[in-house]
Amino acid sequence: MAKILAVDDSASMRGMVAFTLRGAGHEVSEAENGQLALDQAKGGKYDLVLADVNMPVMDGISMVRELRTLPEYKGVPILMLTTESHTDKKMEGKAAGATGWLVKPFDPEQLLATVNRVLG
Amino acid sequence: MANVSMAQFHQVFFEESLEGLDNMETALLALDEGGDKELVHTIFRAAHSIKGGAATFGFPEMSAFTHEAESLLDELRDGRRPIDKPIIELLLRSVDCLRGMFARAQAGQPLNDEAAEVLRGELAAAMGREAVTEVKARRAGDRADAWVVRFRPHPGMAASGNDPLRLMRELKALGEMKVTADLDRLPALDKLEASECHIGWTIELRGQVKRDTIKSVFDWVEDECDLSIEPLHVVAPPAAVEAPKAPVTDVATARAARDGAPAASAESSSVRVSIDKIDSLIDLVGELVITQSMLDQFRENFDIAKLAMLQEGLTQLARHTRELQESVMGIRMLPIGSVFNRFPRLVRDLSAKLGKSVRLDMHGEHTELDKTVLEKIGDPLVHLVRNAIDHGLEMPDKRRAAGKVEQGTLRLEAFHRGGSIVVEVADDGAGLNREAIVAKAIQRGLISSGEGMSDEAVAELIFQPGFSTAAVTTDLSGRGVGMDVVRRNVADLGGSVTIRSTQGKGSVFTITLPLTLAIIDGLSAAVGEESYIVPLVSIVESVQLKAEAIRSVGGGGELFKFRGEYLPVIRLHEVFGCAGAVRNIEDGLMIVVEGDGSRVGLFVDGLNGQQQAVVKSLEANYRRVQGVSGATILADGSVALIVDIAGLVRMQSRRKAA
Amino acid sequence: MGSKTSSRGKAAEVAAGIALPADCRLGALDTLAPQLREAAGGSAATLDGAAVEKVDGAAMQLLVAFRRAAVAAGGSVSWAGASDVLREASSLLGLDAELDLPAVRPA
Repeated sequence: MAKILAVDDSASMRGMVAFTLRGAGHEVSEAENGQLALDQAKGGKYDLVLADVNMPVMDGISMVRELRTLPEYKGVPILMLTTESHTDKKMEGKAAGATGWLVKPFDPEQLLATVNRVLG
Repeated sequence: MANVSMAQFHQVFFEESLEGLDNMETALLALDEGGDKELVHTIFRAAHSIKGGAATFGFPEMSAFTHEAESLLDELRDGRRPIDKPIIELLLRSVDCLRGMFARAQAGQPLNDEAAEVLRGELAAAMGREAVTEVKARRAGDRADAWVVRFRPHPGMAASGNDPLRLMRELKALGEMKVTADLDRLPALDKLEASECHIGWTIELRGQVKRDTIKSVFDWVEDECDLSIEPLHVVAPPAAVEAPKAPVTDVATARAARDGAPAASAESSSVRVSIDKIDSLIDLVGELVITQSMLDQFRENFDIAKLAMLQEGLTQLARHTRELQESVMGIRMLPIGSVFNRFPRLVRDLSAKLGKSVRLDMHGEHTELDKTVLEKIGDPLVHLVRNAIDHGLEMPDKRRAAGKVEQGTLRLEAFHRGGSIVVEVADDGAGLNREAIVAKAIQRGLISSGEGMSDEAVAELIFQPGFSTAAVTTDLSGRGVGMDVVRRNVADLGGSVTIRSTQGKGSVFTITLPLTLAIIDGLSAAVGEESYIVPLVSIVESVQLKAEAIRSVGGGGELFKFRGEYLPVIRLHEVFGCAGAVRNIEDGLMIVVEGDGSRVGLFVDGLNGQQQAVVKSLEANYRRVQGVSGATILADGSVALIVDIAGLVRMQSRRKAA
Repeated sequence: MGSKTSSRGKAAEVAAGIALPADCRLGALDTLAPQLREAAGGSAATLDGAAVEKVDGAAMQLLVAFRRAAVAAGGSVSWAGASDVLREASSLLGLDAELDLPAVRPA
């Protein structure tokens, strides 16, 4: 069981991600943009952060960059939820310090497989 | 399990997407008016979200369509393509098309129609290519039964959350593994920065694995390591190279996912509530609990000395209950802005079509209305707005000739007045044409002459069934729906419509709506052994009549004179068949009510008093009953029916007609 | 066993004992690294890895560097215990020879 932070401005996406992960026994917190996620991440250490790229207020890439400046998030897996059409976003996310990505659309099985993969 | 559980997010997806489409439209219209280029980002984000959601929740057609729109937006965002009118027009049509897809998705119908396909092609054509059909060919990977993987992470790899240990574990899962660590570059302990990787590995991996499979382990770190994957022994490919397994396209799997999901109910409605509202509810419940526990003390040991405290507690209880009631009602309240939002587009399209120049002036978008009212007020408003542009506002040259500015103004405004919400649709057009209306009414047989009719009475004529004023029936408003339907729709919501018009200056339609449908203020009237609630808003006056004030007319009808006007009598005990009711006019009471634009007298035994009634749907619990809009439970636990005034008036006029 | 009878007043060689934390990953290394650096100066260090539940490549790399440093300084490193997780990591990273973990966990 891991503490996971799911960040997406789409409530349905967030809901799907949280629902799936909770079903697998993880403890999931949700945030609807990068800024809120950052505030939340500072409050408690998460084992994994899943973040959408395009979000209002603070996008996922800026959020990753900010998160990586926090000592307690050094080495913590952060996955970007991105779409196939945005290969450049993957690289941009990586450059900002993201661990990897999960390509939308994904189904719950794919999500769980990837999460299990990074959590080891 | 996955597919079934997915369905529960469909409704949320629909709602947020429709909201996203509204935002897209608003932003597109603003762009059209020369708005900030930053708006493109907002539009892009909305499209992007819809695309991702559609693909995830099993709506590939929608996803494919949005993909084209998104690509176009991407080009606009990057400045690769200029933002011009035709592009905005195209995107606006795409928004409409997506709305249609959502409606079909909610109804469980096939998403694509011909129009969608055509539009998708247009979007692609706008980018100078053909629409993409997403079918991904799978590249067969090299095959071998043993591999040598050389892997040296760059120092920063681990800090990005890619632990070499994890990668090794993934490799191990692929086959038998022999690992040799290369420690040559490992710095001395006091020079070592712990978060940096300085070890390289050579891995011998034995197993029937494709190169791509091994490579996929290193997907995320491609740019953060040196990697080589070489076969240890090359194997000849099997005779039939794994006949490309019936190319599973994304579309097919996604459709299967959707088919497995339970049919989405077309209108399982939900409300999005702001956190503030919920918080205040929780606060109130907290206070209620405190009051309750305070009152609880009196149960065990009460003595008269504590009476004042008890009274205080009960007063608090009453206040909290009332506040809680208001807050809970507030949850159903949504800003009218969501309805107003559609008008900029409507006005733009309509005025362009008619060659008129119209400025839309909206106020009070934040005024909140009951969700049910909100859902049903859209159509009447659209009708009024169409009417105003079509019939009210004049052509530019005509306006100029009348000494007005060429651009007409259409004002849409919502505000509170007393316990009601008022929505006004005003135009500075020509106003009602008295002569034309009178002539039409005579032609229709509604009146015999306009002589002596007040302007108000003439204006009222347009609300008569089947009345249409435009000299030429355009395809815009002339849809067989008249103002009578607008009035009836509004009346169904417990509201009313009135018009004020000044010839040459314009018209104002005023819709007055109750704040909420869930609670009404009513007068409880006794009829026999039963009680009926008459909505306070419909009551004009109650009068006690002498027997001689009543006139019998043919067909068993009765009339009485009220302020110089003869009104029909509706005996409630007759309508609802109540036993033991007062029959003698002098012993009972006549409540003069107004509904559906006309007045009638309701004859009841007497009044029990005024009260708030929480409306319970009769339809949901029993069935629809003519002349009754719902039921409520009285303080003593008995049930009272709520009288539907407009319905009764319609029943009455039908009887008259028969 | 080394200096049973020391003529000098103080024990010249202090045997450092370091217990590795349960979560022995990047986040814990800011604390662990200074301890190891200090211990690497002593002659005999004992590492206890029995409690380790989570470990990563960075931590394993640090342990290797520590052992190398201790040995280079003429000291020795012994293990008081090693969890399965630690042993698995050592094997996966090809560091068995380098770290020399006890083959089986002491009772």
